[in-house]
Amino acid sequence: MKSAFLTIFIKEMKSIIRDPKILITMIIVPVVLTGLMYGIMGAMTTQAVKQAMKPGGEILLVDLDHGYWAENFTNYLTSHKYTVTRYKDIDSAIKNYDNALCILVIPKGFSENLTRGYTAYLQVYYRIRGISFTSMMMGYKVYGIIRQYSDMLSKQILEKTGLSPEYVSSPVNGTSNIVIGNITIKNIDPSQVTGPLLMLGLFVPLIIGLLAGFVAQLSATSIAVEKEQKMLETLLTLPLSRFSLIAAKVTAAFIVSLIGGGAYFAIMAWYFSQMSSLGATNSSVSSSIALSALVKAVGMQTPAVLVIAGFGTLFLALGIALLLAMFVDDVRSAQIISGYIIAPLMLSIFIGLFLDITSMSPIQQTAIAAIPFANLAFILNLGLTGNYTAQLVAAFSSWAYAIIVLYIASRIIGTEKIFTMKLFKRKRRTSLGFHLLTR
Amino acid sequence: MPTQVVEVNDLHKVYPGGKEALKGLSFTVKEGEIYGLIGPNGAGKTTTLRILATILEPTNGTARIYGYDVKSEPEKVRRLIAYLPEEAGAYKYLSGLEFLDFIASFYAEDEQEKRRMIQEAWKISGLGMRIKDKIKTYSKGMLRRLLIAKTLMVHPKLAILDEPTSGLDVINSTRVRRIIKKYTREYGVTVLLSSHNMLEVEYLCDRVGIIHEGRIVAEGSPAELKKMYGAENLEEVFAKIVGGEEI
Ligand SMILES: Nc1ncnc2c1ncn2[C@@H]1O[C@H](COP(=O)(O)OP(=O)(O)OP(=O)(O)O)[C@@H](O)[C@H]1O
Ligand SMILES: [Mg+2]
Repeated sequence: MKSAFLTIFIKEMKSIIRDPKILITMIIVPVVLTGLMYGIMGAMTTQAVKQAMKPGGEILLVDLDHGYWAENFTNYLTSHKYTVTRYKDIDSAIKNYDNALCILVIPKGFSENLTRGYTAYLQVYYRIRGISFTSMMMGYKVYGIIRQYSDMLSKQILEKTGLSPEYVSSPVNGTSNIVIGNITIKNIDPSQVTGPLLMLGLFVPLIIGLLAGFVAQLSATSIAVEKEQKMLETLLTLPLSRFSLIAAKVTAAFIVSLIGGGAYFAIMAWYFSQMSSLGATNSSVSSSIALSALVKAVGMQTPAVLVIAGFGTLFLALGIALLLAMFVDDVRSAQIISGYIIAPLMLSIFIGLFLDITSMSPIQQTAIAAIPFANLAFILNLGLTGNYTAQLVAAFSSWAYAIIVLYIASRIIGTEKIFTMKLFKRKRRTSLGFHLLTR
Repeated sequence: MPTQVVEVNDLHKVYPGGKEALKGLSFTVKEGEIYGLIGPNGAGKTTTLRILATILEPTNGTARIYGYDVKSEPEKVRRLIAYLPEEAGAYKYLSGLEFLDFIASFYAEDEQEKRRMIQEAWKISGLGMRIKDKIKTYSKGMLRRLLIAKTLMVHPKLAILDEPTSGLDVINSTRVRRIIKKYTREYGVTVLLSSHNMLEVEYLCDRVGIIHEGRIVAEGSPAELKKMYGAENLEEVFAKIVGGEEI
């Protein structure tokens, strides 16, 4: 025979999937909204960057110089897939701007300056048509082609003098090496380290906070649903342990939250991979070497501590939500009340992210690591400073709180309090008959 | 001597907030009996039934079902009873069938017994093919019939029914009463119910306890009570005991 746990669990999943109230407010809205937001932002930026990278487009040229170098530059543009339309003066060019990239003015004396060895200037006019990302990138595109042309010229000039262009363009250069914790990584692009660091120190705590929010909302809702659909009384008299009742509800809330959180995470990961591929740079260190050096720097235990603390935090949020949900009568109040948990929870994580704990004394660090939710944000920095005691406190303090809260919740669930306790005391309507009789 | 199914002794209940709902209530229900609790609004009927159904805990006094104390051995009590709350609902997003399956899963020993329960409940409910529709599409009467069916299908030793026909029209009420009567005789289910309908009580109950301000103030078979108070019907008995007829 199916166990009571499984029966309740299946019922929970069915109502989560079928009840639009739960599905819409809990899963669809947050995931779809953020997904859409990230999706649009990501697509827009990639589109804009691609547009800007792609050579070509219309340039309105006002040649006031008519010299050799003006002609040379114009040819350079056309050979790089730009369409050049000539105008006599700036005013007529502006009138015919339309979809052109920009107006390029070659001022009088351009060729003369160049031949005499002075810097020559080109004037670029471009119109701002809105705040779209694409139009912002267009400006860079024209500067890019000017830069290219300029580099080409300086190469030619230097070749005549017999000096190496590489040498002249940067007689002094730097290579970047990174010291993190007690590890030194040579010849590495800093973004290779800051990326994963950001992941561990910022996104993982935020994702856990988000998951905790999901779990709290869902489990509070699932308790309130029983009351709202007037099933609590029936449920309390069925031959099943209160423990399996709560365990099944919690499991369902966990699974659905993990799915929701997973979707959210996938969207975020996709977005950031999209973004980082745009700014990809070359580095002599492979990313796997960088990563393994990084893990050594923050300590092998740091990811584990994050996971342990993360689950503790989830259980704590869950316990608080369960506890509060017992006091309310309907789904709406349950959601409002779990909002009271989620808001300070997220705030706490955010404050944690902006708090610089590296300048604190080890004792202060250890004390602050016991603050629930916020401590998620400290774990990485504690690893970097090598305060393992504090990391241990961060890993297990949330569990301790969670166990206390869940214990209190289970004590209440076992008694009539789950039925009689009310957070918002509502006046009981005494019926007319009763008044008559007690008069 | 017949077994005592329900044994309530000097029961007191004080709600948080100080309302004393039961003030020394005592009564017993014998095996196979249909026992009716009647009394004005706020007399303490629902409170009594909730204590027996292990939802509330008595403040003082004892309540036993088949000898098991509701406060110290609630799990054992729950295996013997089926409770129909006064304002019960059901999961709106399940179909009637799924709901019956859900409830039956907690009682049935195996798949076969579960199927038997569901079949029986389907018949009792009289819902026909509507059983496959979502409960949120049911009328009040259909819902109540479904809930009566889920209570009786598990063949409990004791069925606790709080105002089983409340909110039902004449035809549905009559149907439900007939079901309760036929069914409990057939399967030897003992019934403890509360009601405001004196006709219902007279038709159904072997014995009646009149409850007033948290105490049983009169008890006996409908015939006995009528004789005791020299009344034509139970309504008169009720009025004589609890007053209020001067309006
Ligand atoms: N949860 C509660 N908290 C405080 N007082 C309550 C609670 N439930 C019931 N009471 C009070 O206890 C008394 C008995 O209530 P109960 O519901 O048992 O009456 P009843 O006989 O079932 O009435 P009715 O015929 O209206 O259903 C009433 O005065 C009621 O106001
Ligand atoms: Mg009542």
